[in-house]
This record gives sequence, structure tokens and C-alpha cells, in this order.
Amino acid sequence: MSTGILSIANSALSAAYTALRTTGNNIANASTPGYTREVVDLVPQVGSSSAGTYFGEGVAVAQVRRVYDAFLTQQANQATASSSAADARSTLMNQLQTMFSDPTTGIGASIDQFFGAVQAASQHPTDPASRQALLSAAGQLASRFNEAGSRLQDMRSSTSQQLQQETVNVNSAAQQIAKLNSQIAFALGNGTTPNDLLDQRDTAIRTLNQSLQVSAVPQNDGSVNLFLANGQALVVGAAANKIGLSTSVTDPQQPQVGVYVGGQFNPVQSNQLGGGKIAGLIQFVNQDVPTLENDLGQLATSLSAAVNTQNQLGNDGNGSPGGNVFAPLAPTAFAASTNGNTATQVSATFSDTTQLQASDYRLVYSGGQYTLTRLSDGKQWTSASPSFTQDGLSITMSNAPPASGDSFTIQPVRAAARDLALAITQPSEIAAASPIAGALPAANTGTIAIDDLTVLWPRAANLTNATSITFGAGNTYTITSGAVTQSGTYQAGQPISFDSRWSITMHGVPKAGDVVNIGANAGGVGDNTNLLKLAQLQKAALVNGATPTQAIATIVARVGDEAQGAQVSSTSQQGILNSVLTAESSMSGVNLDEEASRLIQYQQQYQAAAKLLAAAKTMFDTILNLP
Amino acid sequence: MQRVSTLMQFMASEQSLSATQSDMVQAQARIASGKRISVPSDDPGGAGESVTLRSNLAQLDQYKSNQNQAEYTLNQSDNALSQFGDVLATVKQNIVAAGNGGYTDADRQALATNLEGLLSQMVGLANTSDGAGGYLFAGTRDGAAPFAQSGTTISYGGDANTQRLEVSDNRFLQTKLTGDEAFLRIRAGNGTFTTAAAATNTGTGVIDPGGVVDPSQITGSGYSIAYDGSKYVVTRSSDGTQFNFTPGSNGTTSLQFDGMSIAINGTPAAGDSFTVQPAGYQSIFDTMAQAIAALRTPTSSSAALARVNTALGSAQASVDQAIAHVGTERAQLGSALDEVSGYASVQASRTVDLQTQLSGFENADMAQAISAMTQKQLVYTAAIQSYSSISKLSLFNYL
Repeated sequence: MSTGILSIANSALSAAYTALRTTGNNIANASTPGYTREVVDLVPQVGSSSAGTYFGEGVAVAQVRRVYDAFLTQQANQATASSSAADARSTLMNQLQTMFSDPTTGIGASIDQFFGAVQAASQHPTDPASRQALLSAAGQLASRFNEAGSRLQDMRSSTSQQLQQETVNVNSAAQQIAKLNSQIAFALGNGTTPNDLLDQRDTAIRTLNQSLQVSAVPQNDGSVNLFLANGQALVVGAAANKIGLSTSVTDPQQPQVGVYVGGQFNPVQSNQLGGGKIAGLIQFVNQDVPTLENDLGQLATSLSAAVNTQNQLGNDGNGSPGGNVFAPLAPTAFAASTNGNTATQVSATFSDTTQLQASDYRLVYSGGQYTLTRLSDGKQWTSASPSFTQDGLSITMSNAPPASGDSFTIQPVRAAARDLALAITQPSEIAAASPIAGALPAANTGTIAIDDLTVLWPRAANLTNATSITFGAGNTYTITSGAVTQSGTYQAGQPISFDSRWSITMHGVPKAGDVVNIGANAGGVGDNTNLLKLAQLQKAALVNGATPTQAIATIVARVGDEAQGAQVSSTSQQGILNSVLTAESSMSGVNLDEEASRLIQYQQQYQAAAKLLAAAKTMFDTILNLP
Repeated sequence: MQRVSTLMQFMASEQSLSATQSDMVQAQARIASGKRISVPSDDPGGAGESVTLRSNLAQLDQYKSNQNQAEYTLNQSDNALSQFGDVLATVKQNIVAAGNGGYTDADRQALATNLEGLLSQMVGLANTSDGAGGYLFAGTRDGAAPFAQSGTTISYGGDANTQRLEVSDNRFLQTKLTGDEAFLRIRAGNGTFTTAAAATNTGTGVIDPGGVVDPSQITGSGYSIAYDGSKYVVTRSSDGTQFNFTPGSNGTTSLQFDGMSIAINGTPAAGDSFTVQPAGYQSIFDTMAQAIAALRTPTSSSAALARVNTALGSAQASVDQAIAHVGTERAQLGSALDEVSGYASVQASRTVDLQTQLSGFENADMAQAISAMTQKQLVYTAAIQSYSSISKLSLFNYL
């Protein structure tokens, strides 16, 4: 009877107390990130029956339940990883694009200034000041490329440092989660639900996802196994694997993330990292940076090679054949570190810089076939012999064949922007004049005149040998130089090449017997013909079909596009993250108003239960006080 | 009905406040800098266009500088040629004066001295410097003065090539005349043929420079004219065809053949002969040398006088050719100058076009930027105000 009431009152009191405690805990942790609100599940005590009447036995606390939805949590984890990756890449792309933000000081401007100096020098080819200005402008051009190249190298190394830091973060979070796994499994084994440990573990998994995307698979014993996006295990029960950084076997400048399992490093492919800051950093350093290095390198290589060629076709201020203006750049090629046959080496040279692509290449030997792959778009060429001439490159192998499966990387232009340098130091080394000149004897009776006389590449040893073009009847001509002759029919404006030495274009009407003499340009110090040809390079399709200015404009637009795309991606991922977090929080977050009203509710219940206890006591006292 | 957690409420407000604030600050930065594109991602296509437009403008600047230099040099050359033409006019006066029948050897010597002075002036003008350490008429061998004088022998050390400048896209303009073009390649005589008297003539026949009456009949052959005492026999050298002419009365014979008309004045002796050659090139300096040599020749006999007069007549014709040639060269310079100023004006308006385009990409439209900023300011203010009123709401205030 009264004991029944006592025990009921007790159960009510303790239930109300638990509920108040829980509410208090919720209120205290309202601002704690990662805290999952708890609710008290109250169930009626199992009733008893007596004399045909069923009596309730009070209330029991079934559990203090975390209001938790595994699906929402998983979604939020994934969104966190994606958003971190997008954000990391966007930040880095914004830093990257600042090198193109001032159009008055960039590479485009220095290209314009270089050609402006060429034109200015064409006005006064013998003036040392004009030549010096041209030399300085060429030096500036190289410097700008160098600055861009070292900026990219700096970003690569600072990104690698960030990657190191992130792997440390991942490893410490993984360790923590493994420890929590064992603690939680132990507590669950003892029949208790360690809500705060569960919250801690969820927070650690969320933090881990910021660095690297992992998916959580709950196990029966309450622990959670973590797997990377490519399926490799990071945490299994109470054991955590370490991740680390290494360099790709095919390119020592490319960092690679991998998992150490039993002492062995298992690399994860860059496109299989999923999300997380690490994925964003890897994409930046393995994709965005090399792409820009190759773009700039393609421009630097083709422009400097064309300038070098033109300078060599002319005569310098001392009357000698011109040399290289810029130190000639060369492709790099190296073997993968895992190659079986270490004696085999690959080397590459430029066969035609106007066809260079902004890409690296991979040469693989397998099953007796050599396959060359252009990495930018995957185009392949196969051959049974290890020599290829493609895309302006000439690739050969020494000590062939390598072991089957061996691979080699060829980077034609990757380091060109960093390496571009002037080779000339004196203003006199600029080749302003043409080595040859044409002359029309006074005896000519026709109106034949020379429009253009171009030296052909490569510069022939007998270029300046005296040559004459004699016209016959009906516009025919014969060119004679020593024993070499060539005949043809003249057409105004059509270039005529002779013996791979030079090419001439004439206009006018020749009469039979007219002669045009080509010979050394002796004493012609004021000749500016070669400078005029140098200036024309600005409009020539030097860079795989584009002019130098078109090439740099395309690079700027592409970088801006990528940065804009990264920003948009970051913003939209952030939006997705916000809405998923809101949904998660809507389920699991504390609402103070709600807790306030619960407080009132359980307070009243407690008071009512206390009153019940007082009533039971009074009843008992009454019985005790009976005489 | 969506449940909202307190934490999320505050975080969401915080985020949107921060986002609207950052928008507002960005809009304000755009106004302060005046730039529409501060990083390429602001407008990637526009950033690329901007590079291209700047390059085009730089090229136009180069052309403009080349045009200025070309104008300067062309004007200089024109000046020099104009002065040269003035000197030639004086030369002609002197030569014409020498034809005066009453002149003595001494008079002609005086004229020769005049001509020598004028020759030096001409050489000086031909050696005019271009104001930048080179020469106007040296071709590309402009390390040293192109014309060297030794007595009346002038030699040309320059060449036949010349500097060109790109004054407009792919237009390479010759900015100087070579010494060759200006002073050496002048057709002698009357421009089509020259006439001369044999040195052994003993009569007083003076052959005049002649003229062309029908260009279509000119054969380009040489001719010899022999006087046998009663008639002139003209032999065409190319095929031996002969024409005969009887001497005219009153001391002048007019010979017309193959489109040419030549007069022989005076009285040739039997056996005298004359030659006619197609006109090659003769430099004005060679003409001057011939004229001076003729003037310095003593005339001990009437035959000698006749030879001197023939030579002077030929020299005068060549000087006329030179004067015409200078005029033609100056006209060439003039048309080059016209061409350059044509490019300059077309280019000026193209430059303005490009600058306008560039400004459209790079510079912020102030009105739009200011109204965008004002709008963002409004949004930010509304966000702050609503945050402060909502954040005050809590059930705990009422318990």
C-alpha cells in the first residue's frame, strides 16, 4: 500500500531528477560543437496485478538517449570533406592567380616591352644605347618568367608542408579514434552507453574528414572502422594505421599520400582521395601547379628558341654571325625509381619548338612495345623501337631494351620558366644586320627589284658566297653560285629558295639579261634587316599555332577560369555543407527554449513527486501515530 | 516543421553576417581601386582580352615611334635634296653662260672654278648626316661619309641597301634614299641617248643632245654618224642599216631617224664623225667632272671650241636630267611622307578605340559599382539589425 506509493514516488523523483540532470547537461552543452542532445526515455514500470486489478508501479528511465541519426552524420562528414577540399584548392588558386593580377607588370607586358625595344633598336641599329635597352628588355623578360617559375616552386613547397601538417593531424585523429573505439567497446560491453565518448569520437571523425575523407562503418562491438575513399583501412577497431607522404615513383616532384600497412607504404592515387583538405592540396600541387608550369614553360621555350634562331641568322655588331640570345633550354627525362633495368636511359631534344605541347610525357615498355603517352590528354603512340618524333620532340633511348613494365617520364618544358636566362652580355652581340645583301647592277634595263631576302635555317656555311640570278627570255631565270645552279620561272611576289641558303622575293618586270647579285653584306653596319625579322616574331605562330601574346592571354584567362571555378565550387560546397549541418543540428542540436520548457516540465514533476512522497510520509506517520 | 538548434541559429547568423560584410567590403574595394578586374577570376575572359588589347596598344605605340622617326628622316632627306636642287640650278646657269660665243678661255676657267665650288657643296649635301651618327645617303654603310672627293673624282662608298622601318602592320617603309638612287642612277644625255663628237674632228660641227620624237621607234641601238663632205651617213650599229641625210642650209642639219631627232650645228669637216649611244646611268658628279674638264680645256682652234661646246651641251642635258631626277626623288619622299601621315591618323583613331575597349574590361563602371555597394550596405545593415532583435529572444528571459 504505502510502500507501493513510496516506491512509486521514489521512481518519480529519481526519474524527474535524471530528466532534470539531462536537461541541465543539454543546457550546459548548448554551444559545444559536436554535442548530441540527450533525451530521457521514460517508460512505465512493469505493473503488478492484485485481486484482478492492475496497478502501475511508477516510472523508470529506460535510457538516456543520444538523439542521433547515423545517416545525417555520414552525410555531414562527406560534405565536410568535400567542402574542405574545395576550400583548400580555392584558397590556393586565389594565391596562384595573384601573379597575373597586374597586367602592367606581368609576362604579357614584358613580352610587349621586349618587342618594343626591338623596334626601337631597328631605328638606330648601331646606337649602343638602343642595343643596351634591347638587352635589358630581354633580361627583364627572362626575369619575369623566372619569378613566375619560382613562385610556383614556392607554392609547391609550401603546399607540401601543409600536406605534412595535415597527415600529422590525420594520424593523431586516427589514434584518438582507435583509443575511443576500445573505450567505447569496453563501456558497451559493461552495458552502459558512454554518450560523451560517442560524441568525442564523432567529433574526431568530423575533424578527420576535414583533413581527409573517411567513411565510418560501425561494428557490432560499438567500435567504428574508418576507410579511406579508395577502400584502404585507416582504423580497424582499436588499431590505427598511419598515413604518410611519399613522392611518386614516376615523378619525384609529385607528393603522394599513402597508408603504411605492416611497414609497407600503399600509395593512394590522387584522384581516389575523395575529399578533405589533403585532396584539395594534392589536386593543386599535382595538377594545377604542373599545368601552369607547363603552360609558361611552353611559352618560354618556344619564344626563346625563335629569338635565338633569328639572332643566329643575322650578323652582330662585330660583323660575326649572331649567337644565342637566351641560354638554350632542353627537355628533362628520367626513369621511374622502380625500373628493373637501371642502365636504360631516355633522352629528349627539341626538333621543332613551334609544335611543343604544354604537357609531360610517359614512355612505357611492355610486351615488346614502346608506348608514348601525352599526359595532358592521354594521346598515345606505339612503336616497336624506342625512338619517337612527336609534338616537336625527338626522344631516344640508350641501353635499350629496359625491363618489361619500366617507365620513363619526359618533361619537355616543365622547368623552362625557372631556367630561362640570357646568354648574351654585350649589346654588340645582338644581330641587327643581315649577313647577305642583294644588289642590282646599273646595266639592268628592266624594273626588277628585291622585296625581301631571308636567310634560311640552318645557316649555311656558304651563305655569303657570291651568287647571281640572271634573267632570260620569258621571265625565266638561272641562279649560279660557283658550280651550283638552279633555274626556274620568275613570278612577282613568289619566294625563290636557293640551295637551302636563302630565299628571295622580288617584284617588277625583268628584261632578258638583267641580273640580281646576292653576296655578303660587307660594311653594312646600318642594316636593320635582322631586327625587323626579329620584331615580326611577335606576330608569328610560335607557340603551337598561337602568337606569344595569344599564348599568355590564354594562360591568364585559363588561370582566372580555374580560380573562378574553384571559388564557385567552394561556395556551392559550403552551401551544401551548411544545409547538411543544419539538418544534422536540427536533429541533434540543443534548442535552449525547448530545454527551458522541459526544465519547467521536469521541475513541476519533481515537485509533484516530492509532494507524493510527503503524502506517503503523512500516511505512514498517521498509521504510526495510531495509539 | 523544422527544428532549429540554438547553436546552428547563432552559427548561421554569424556566417551570413560575415558573408554580407565581406561582400560589402569587396564592393567598396572595387570603388576605391576603380578596377573592375583585380584578379583574373573576376572576369577570366576579360582578363585574357585585356592582355591582348594591351599588346595591340603597345604595338601601335611602336609603329607610332617608327612613324615619327621615318618622318624625321624623310624630311631631312627632302631638305637636303631641295638644297641640292638649288645648287643644280646654279650649275645650270653657269653651264648655260659658258655657251656664250664671246667667252674666252679665261672666262671659262672662271666658270670651271665656280663649278668646282658648287661641286664641293654638292658633295657636302650628299654627305649630310642623319642626326644620329649615320648618314642620309649612305645606304646601310653609314659608318663613314658615303662620298669621297678627290679633285673632281667623287667615289661612292655606300651601298644600295637601305634601312626600313615598320610604320604600320607589315608595312616596311624605306626611310632613306641610297646615294645610288639619289645621285648615281641618273640617265645621261637626254635620258634616252647620248651624243658625242669624235676627238679627231677638225670641223666646227657641234652635235646637240638630241631628243625623242617617237618613243615607239627607239631601237636601243648605238649609231655612228659620218660626214663625208657632202652628206651625213648614219649607221645603225645593231644591223648596219644606213640612213643618208643632206646637210641643211644656214649651218644646221636636222637628222631624224628611228624616232630620234638630232641637230648638228656648225660646219663639220669631211671625215668628221659623231656617235649616238643609248643612255646609261651617269652620276651627277661624273657630269660635273665632265663639265669642269670641258671648261678647263683650252680652245686653240675652232674645232677644239666645237668639241667643248658639244661636251657642254651634253653636260647641260645631263644636268637637266639630274634636276628632273631630284624632283622625282623628292616626289617619292613626299609620297612616303603622305603614306606615313595616313597611317598616323588611322592609327590614332584605332588607338582610341582600343583604349576604350580596354577600359571597358579593366575599369569599374563607377555608377554601377556605387549602387552595388549601396545595396550591399543595405543588406548588411538589415542583417545586423535583424540579428540583434532575434538574438534577444529567449524563453529564459521570461521565466
